[in-house]
Amino acid sequence: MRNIKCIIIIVLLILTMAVGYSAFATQLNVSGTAEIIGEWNVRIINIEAKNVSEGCNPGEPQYTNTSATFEAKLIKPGDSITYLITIENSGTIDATLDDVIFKEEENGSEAIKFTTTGIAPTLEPGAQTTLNVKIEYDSKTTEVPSIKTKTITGIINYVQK
Amino acid sequence: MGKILFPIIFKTGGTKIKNMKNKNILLIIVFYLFIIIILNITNYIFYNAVNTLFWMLMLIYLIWDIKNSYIRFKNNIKYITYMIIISAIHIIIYLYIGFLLGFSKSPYSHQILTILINILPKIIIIFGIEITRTVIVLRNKNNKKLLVVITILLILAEVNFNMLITTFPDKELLFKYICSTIIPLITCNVLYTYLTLNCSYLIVIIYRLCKELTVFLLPILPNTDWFVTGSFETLLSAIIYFIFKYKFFKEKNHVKEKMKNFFEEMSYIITFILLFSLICFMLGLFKYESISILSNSMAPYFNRGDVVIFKKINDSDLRNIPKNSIIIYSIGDKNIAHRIVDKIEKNNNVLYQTKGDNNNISDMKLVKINQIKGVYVFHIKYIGFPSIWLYEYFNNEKAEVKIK
Repeated sequence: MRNIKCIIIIVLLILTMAVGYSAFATQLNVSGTAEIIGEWNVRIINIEAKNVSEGCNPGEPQYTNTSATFEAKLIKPGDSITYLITIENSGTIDATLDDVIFKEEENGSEAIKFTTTGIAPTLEPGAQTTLNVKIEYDSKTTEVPSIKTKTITGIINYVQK
Repeated sequence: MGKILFPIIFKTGGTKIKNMKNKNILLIIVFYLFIIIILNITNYIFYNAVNTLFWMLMLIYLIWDIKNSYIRFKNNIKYITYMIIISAIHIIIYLYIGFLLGFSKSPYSHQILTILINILPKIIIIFGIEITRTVIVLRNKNNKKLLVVITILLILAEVNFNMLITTFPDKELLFKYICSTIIPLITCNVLYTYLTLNCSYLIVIIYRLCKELTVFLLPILPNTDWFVTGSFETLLSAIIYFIFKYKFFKEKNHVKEKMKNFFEEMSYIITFILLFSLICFMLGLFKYESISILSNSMAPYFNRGDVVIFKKINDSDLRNIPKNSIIIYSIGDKNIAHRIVDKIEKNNNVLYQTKGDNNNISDMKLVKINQIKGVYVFHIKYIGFPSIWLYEYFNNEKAEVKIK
């Protein structure tokens, strides 16, 4: 009887996790190691939009511990929005920047330009750094482009110092 | 029965002394927990050093304490061998997950000195916790309440309250943290107490060292998310519990009783295989996947709360999906299951026009083939409601969060 109780508890626990996973599956951004290691905890703690050109819509940027997403709506050439992503080392181990890779969508609009600045090469426990991602409607564009969207995917990889 | 290794028997000490020492250890742990919870929340960096120091001092105290007590540590070589094999299987499964979900570069340095700095505190904490558990458990084999108390205290000693407080305002993060960390912590600690009580502290230490130090040693680590971590840890703890339970049972009982339990044993094995398959299915490791339907846009074909099972298709088939098929495609972080009403070929690109059966107009945007996740196969009524309720609950909460 006790064995059956144990089995029922385990089945219920795993089913609850499966239901949760199904509910959040579409929002998941799998990013490896942060969830399994207690002491290593470099994570995103904030994202905000700044220097928004007049009439442009920065959307509602969102973030989790390991991912940040935003959708910018630009109107005319020269418009830009800068997103500030704050990263904190909440763990106990010194972190050093291994690489920052930003990849632009191959078939995306050529009129949309991305530039990234900032981000500290090292992060001591408790320290924060900010990555600035500037999205710009190319001011040299003279015609309305046929493709109007572009997705950028960025990976910021911190490792132990 | 296998051989008994390292039998250590120390005499002296009566019931009164035993109870007094129990009280001392429990009081130390409760006091420590009080201090450590405050430190954990206020200064996580300082907490880590204090935690290691505490368990080192506890270890020294217990070694002194054992010398003046009557405690018999028995270490059955057969069970140690089982645990070494199980630990090896655990590591193989962990690496195999990486082959299925991909690997990431380990954030930990692999210089010998740094590895030692990383693993030494972990080893001290594991030994400290497990020797404490052993001393209390072996002194109070028949006092079930005390066994429950010590298990709860040792669970609390390993909870990262800092992380708990950080995730608390976001219900979704809190749910994921509970599933990935708290539930496995509870199931593992119940297992450790059970193994310590019935077998030996050494097999628990072997298992914990193999499981918890692997991440510091491997240059690459599997891309495990909260669901993989939580479900596999929970399931593996249960499997190990039943393996040892039946090993102990078989040694104590006759052949007839063993036969009676054969069917029960088989039913547990089938349950574990089903649970393992469910986890793999949820992770999308099979050719078929599922999504819960949020709206009635495809009514009456399928409705809100139904679960649609769809089949993943290869790149060449993506260009030739017949009209009237129902496809599952993604826009941003949302999945949509709608019917193809038209196929448009433009500059060697294939685009699909889709529409919900219950909608008046077609979908605003054409679907590119790289957005398509699969083709509808069948649906199961109503079973998607729990995940929809959870999704809506967390999204309502999210709508109230303001990002400054």
